[in-house]
Amino acid sequence: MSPVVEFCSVSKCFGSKLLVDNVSFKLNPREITTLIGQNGAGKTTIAKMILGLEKSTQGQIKVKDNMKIGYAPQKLDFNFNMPLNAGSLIDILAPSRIGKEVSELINFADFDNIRKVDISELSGGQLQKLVLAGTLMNQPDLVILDEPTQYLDVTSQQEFYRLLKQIKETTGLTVFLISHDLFTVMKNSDQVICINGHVCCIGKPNEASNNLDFKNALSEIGFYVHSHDHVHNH
Amino acid sequence: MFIIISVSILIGFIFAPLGCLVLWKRYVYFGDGLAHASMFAGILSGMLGLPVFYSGLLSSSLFAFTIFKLRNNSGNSAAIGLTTSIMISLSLVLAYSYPGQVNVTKYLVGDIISASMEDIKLLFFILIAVSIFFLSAYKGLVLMILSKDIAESRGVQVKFLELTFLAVLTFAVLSTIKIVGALLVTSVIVIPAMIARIIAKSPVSMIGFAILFSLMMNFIGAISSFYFDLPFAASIILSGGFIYFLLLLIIHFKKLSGKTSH
Repeated sequence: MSPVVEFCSVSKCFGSKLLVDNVSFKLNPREITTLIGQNGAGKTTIAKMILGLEKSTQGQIKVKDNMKIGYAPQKLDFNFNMPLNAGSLIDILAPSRIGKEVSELINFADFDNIRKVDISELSGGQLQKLVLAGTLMNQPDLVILDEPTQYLDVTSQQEFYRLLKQIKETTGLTVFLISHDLFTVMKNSDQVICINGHVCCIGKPNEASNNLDFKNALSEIGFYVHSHDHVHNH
Repeated sequence: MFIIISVSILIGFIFAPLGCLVLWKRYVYFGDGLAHASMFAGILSGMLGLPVFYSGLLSSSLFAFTIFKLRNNSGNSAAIGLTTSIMISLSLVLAYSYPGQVNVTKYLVGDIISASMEDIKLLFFILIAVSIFFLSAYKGLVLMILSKDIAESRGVQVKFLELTFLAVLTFAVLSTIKIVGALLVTSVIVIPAMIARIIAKSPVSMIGFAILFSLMMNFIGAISSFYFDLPFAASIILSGGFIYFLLLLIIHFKKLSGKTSH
């Protein structure tokens, strides 16, 4: 199957600073691809280039035509003064709630209990769950999730990845994740891309424990591997 | 009296939704800067014999251009603060230099008696523009306020919406500056939205309540201005302030009575 997104030698400069350097990769349909890297490595910029929010300075980005792309950003800086309850937020994020997984996503976000609560009164985790649920309920073909579980507790993280995999299997969703949580990445991704401005390594997650290049790449971006799938921050 | 009541109603319908957006986007500081910079428009109008609307376009373009150039160095708030102060100072110096031609007080406090049928026509035109803007862009606006990135990823033209909003806000402020005055126009815009924020549960209900409170405030302001010869904007704001604190008191006592009954 042809890739959903393809980066061909893409570079991006901000002023004189080269943030993304000659990056090439493919997002295959029905796969979860995770981008890992240090802060400032260019992860969010790559996500924004897929969305068309940033233009590349060099190279070519091919995105499959007529695709519905969902996006849950890293910063949920809902710094506004608007009265909006959880129900209205979901109405905005997913105007036509479709698909079999809606009820499961509603349970995941604990929607029935917080439906009438103003979002300013929700915790970071509750808000993140709502945004994730709303993004997925809108049934995108490709979803880009920037640090989707940073405010979630361990149980919620597990539940989220279980749901994500289930939705991927039933709907053919392609997922592009940005994450720092390497343990979860290794467990749930089909493809991992290590980036530090340039692409350090691309591969299947289980290569981490065997492949020296992969270990070196992880080490370059600030992690080390010392046994099967046990990855730690420095 | 017909003109005064008509102007009050039109201002209410125009400013209430704009005030909600100003509050949601935390643009109060920008609105305040714009209003004070528009005093410069009044001074230019007096000096050059231009209609205040056209001199306003000139002054607001100068205001926006200066902020645009300064904000990368000093940040938005500092750029707005500095530009506003410079334009007010320039206005005062010009007014001092040409005392016979320019009446600063007129543009600072405004005067509802100066409203004419021409103003009603202009305000009606702006009301149509505001209505079209909100009806056509409501969902995009709410999404943009939630998150610019999410909005852009769903095809909302965020920059176009922001520019359109600022243009509509600028025209609305400039069109009412001689009636409401530069000193208090931001409060006339924002206070109804602030009152509505206390009780509204959704963006739409907030706009509805803001229109209701704006009409109440403007009506009280117009009547007291006409019969007791009080400044129009000051009367509006005092009545708005009264409603605001009354509502807070009611809610406070409601909460107290709720606690004691448990």
